[in-house]
Amino acid sequence: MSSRFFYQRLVQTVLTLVLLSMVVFGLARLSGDPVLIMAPPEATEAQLEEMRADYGLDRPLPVQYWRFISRVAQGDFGMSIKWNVPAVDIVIERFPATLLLATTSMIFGLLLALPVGIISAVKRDTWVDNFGKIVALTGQSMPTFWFGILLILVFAVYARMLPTSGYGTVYHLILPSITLGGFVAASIMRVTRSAMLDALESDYIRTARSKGVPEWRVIMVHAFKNGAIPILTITALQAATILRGAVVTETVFVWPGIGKIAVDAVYARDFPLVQASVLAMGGVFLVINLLVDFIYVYLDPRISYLKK
Amino acid sequence: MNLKSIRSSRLLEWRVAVPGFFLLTILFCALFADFIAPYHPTKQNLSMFLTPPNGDYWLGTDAFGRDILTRILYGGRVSLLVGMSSVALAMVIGVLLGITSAMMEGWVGEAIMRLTDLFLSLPAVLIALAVAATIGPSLLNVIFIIGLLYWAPFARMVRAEALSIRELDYVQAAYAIGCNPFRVLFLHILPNIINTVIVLATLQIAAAILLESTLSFLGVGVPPPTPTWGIMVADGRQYVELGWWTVTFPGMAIMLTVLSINLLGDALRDFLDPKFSRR
Repeated sequence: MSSRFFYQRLVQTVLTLVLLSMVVFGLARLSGDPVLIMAPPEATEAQLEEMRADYGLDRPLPVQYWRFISRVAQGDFGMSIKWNVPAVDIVIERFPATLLLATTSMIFGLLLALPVGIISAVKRDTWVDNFGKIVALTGQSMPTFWFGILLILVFAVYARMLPTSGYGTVYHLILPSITLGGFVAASIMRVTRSAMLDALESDYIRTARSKGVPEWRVIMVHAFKNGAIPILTITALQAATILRGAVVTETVFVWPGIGKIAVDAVYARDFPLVQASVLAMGGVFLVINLLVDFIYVYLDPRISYLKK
Repeated sequence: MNLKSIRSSRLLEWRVAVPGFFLLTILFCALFADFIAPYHPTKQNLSMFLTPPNGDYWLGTDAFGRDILTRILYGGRVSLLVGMSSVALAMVIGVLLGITSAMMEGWVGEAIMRLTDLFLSLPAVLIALAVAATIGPSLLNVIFIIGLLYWAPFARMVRAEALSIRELDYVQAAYAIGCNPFRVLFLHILPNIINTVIVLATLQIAAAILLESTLSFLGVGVPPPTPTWGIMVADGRQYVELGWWTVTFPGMAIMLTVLSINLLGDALRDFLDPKFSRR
């Protein structure tokens, strides 16, 4: 990997993060006067002025942004207005729940997407392939919240097999994982299919077949290994996408992760918490994308991002 | 024309005709909901609350006794209007920024690309939710929020296309004989991008409708009493144990609409933009 590419991508990511922090900063200012939300209703105008001065809100915007960003760099987003503890602590506390859900969803998504994608490629243009295509497109067209509610309806309300929502046991994890896993499975399935199609058409596959390698070995070893790079890439990218899906899924299933806390914070106008959670989610997404690019170049040295 | 290509062109006609017909039906129903809807969309009739689907109420009624079919017909208005107008806004912004960044290399182009990366990396649902909750939910705000969040894919694609077309011989030739850059842009580059833009716009409308319904579901979309599919699902969710029809049918309306647009987009891609066709 050329070091120039490495540094270029690194600088790009840092720049994007800075821009994201500006958006997050602007978001809170868009709401009007944060002091009016924080102050007790009986506060006088003089007290409000004093609070504004305390928070530095009477200073010019660039100065305010600088104060904001230098605190954020030290992990200080301020106190959550609703919970009255540091916003960062809440985000850190809630992150494992989201990580757990994201992991099980990804496992479920892969278990669904990889076999279907491979079979679709092997049985190209048969009813299996077409069926897989229709399922993937339908899945991509379903609103996540509706799919989640339908699962609750079928498995919790009628079949009474699983809890409707909440957190705690393995059973609570199943329905949200299916919802979120289905959300990412469709793209992984499509990429797996086309990667496998590319691989299966290559010369080395013809060679393998002609020297009598069993067909399952041709597919699972020779073709899959060579198709693995795009599949790995889309899987890693979808791992980042899961964070977006988590916002809605966690709300539907009342899953106490970072997505749910962010939505609650928006409703409560708890801006420090909104800022911390949006920046955390965006940051994780950017870092994953950066790592994907590095891994991609490492795995396939033919790719050069510099040559454009 | 050999047999195979005749068959595939027939197939393509079907692939445009079926989702196209369905979408036209939804559009027709939404436009003329006043005339074809069997009941009033917002008038409550508490004596008929949560009636299962029957001969009078084909898709049942909600917790306020309002006919679900009627509300689905009206709800199509919001989804289609928001989907199309927000993507139109996104398309204008994205194409302009994409072209600008391709034509102006150096720090302007680089800055636009960083901005594009930023918007591609934003958690869209969360930002839309935060902004909508802050500036207050309304039809116009929802359109602007989605439009301002969804321009980035256009910018990225237009830039990539413009950069590659710029290197083609005929464009270089046009430069060589002294064409003005704007002439090259409008006569040689833009016409070659337009098909790809149309395909992307179709697929983005599907995504915009999904985002609109999600915002409605979360309570920051077009405010009640205007019926939207997302609000109908959110309302029905509270009574899901008493009536499955309250959530099932509005969600199905969203899914079928988005699915038709996606199918149409895929077919358009194969038709207008063969080099990107998925196999």
